[in-house]
Amino acid sequence: MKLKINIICVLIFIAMAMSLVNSFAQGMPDFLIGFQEGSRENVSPYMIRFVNLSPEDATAFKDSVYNASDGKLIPAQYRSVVFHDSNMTFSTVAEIVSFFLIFILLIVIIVQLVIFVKFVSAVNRSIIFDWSNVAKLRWIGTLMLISFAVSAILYYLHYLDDVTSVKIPGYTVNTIDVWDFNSLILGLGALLMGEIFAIGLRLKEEQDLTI
Amino acid sequence: MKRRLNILCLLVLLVLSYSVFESLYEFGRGFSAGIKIAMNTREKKMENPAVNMKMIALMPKDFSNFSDSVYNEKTHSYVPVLYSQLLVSLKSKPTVWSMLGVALSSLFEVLSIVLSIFIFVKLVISINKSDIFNWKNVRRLRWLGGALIFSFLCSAISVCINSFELFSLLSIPGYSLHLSELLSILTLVLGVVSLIVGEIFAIGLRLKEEQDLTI
Repeated sequence: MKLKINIICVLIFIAMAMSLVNSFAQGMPDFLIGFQEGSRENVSPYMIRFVNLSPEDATAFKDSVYNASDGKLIPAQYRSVVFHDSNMTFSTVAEIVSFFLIFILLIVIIVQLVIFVKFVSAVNRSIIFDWSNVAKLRWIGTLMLISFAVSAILYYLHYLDDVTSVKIPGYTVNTIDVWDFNSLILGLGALLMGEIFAIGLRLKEEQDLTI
Repeated sequence: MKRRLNILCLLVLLVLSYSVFESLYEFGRGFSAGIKIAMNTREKKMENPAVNMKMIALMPKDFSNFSDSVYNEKTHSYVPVLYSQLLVSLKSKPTVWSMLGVALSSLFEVLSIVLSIFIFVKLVISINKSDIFNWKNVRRLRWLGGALIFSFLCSAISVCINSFELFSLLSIPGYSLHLSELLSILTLVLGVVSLIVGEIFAIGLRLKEEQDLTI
């Protein structure tokens, strides 16, 4: 009876595990490079910035990149670049705040996962339309909204820093990264499901009282 | 009783409308840029690079090697950078099949999104009528999940066709093309979630039917 739901949940976990393994595999060489760079002497400290750009004139292709396929330079617009910044303008306070926010984000994600696993195991034990599940769904929804807000603050801090220290001619720094709509919509969806469950439960309780 | 539910539905619709508004704004910008390009092309009788524009995502082969640079007006110096996403102007000769594939997949993507919004509104109306745990809603949730996953597949198909075309035409030294980054997984996640909710509803309904039979 619960085969379908378990298959879907296993697929979700496989996708999450693959994404984690992928990130780890991609991050490991960079970590090693960073470690080697860091252990070398006479290396000036630098920070990495991910900057999203919007062209001031969408029709202008003022920059170019080399295409090795035909050996020609092709017109290009920068949309997202990684900056090697040796000026390190990010203040200590902003660094502490962003470290604190990342820590909160990590905890919120772990708690979300734990509650989701608990929810699936409750459904597997045939405990479905129950107030504890309503509470779980509300928790998942609220935590997702918190992670949306925390990541928005975190990225906004970086955006403010980028605006003050980066200006590429013909482009403006944009706020695309600030809003993580995935967690906002999923959080609202979880809260919505919690409310539907709650309405169903209240109806059931009213029916039971009538009988 | 349904006040909170309706507020949440309103919020979901607001977020969706904001994202639609943002897309329409981008579409409007693109449309006006297109008209501007067409006017320029007619006047100057030369092709604008924006005609063949294609969005690409790149993955550096070596993260420690900042081989490119851009001019930073704030520091009045060239700063080492790695490209992550670029809009390039690349002349390509797409086959009729690839053009048809991209056009059809984009059309089906829009249609399935419209269908999923329609099903969502119907679901909310039926919940407001206190018509919650029944097989009709299970079917609606399954259709909603199916439509959302289908829209993701359509967008994946158009990205795949474009990637296939780009891989043979473009090679930027020091980078590999990483076009999966251009794909948004939001519709896939929402689709899977609505399938899960549909299955939970189905399990609950089957349990209820079994209980009714026992009584």
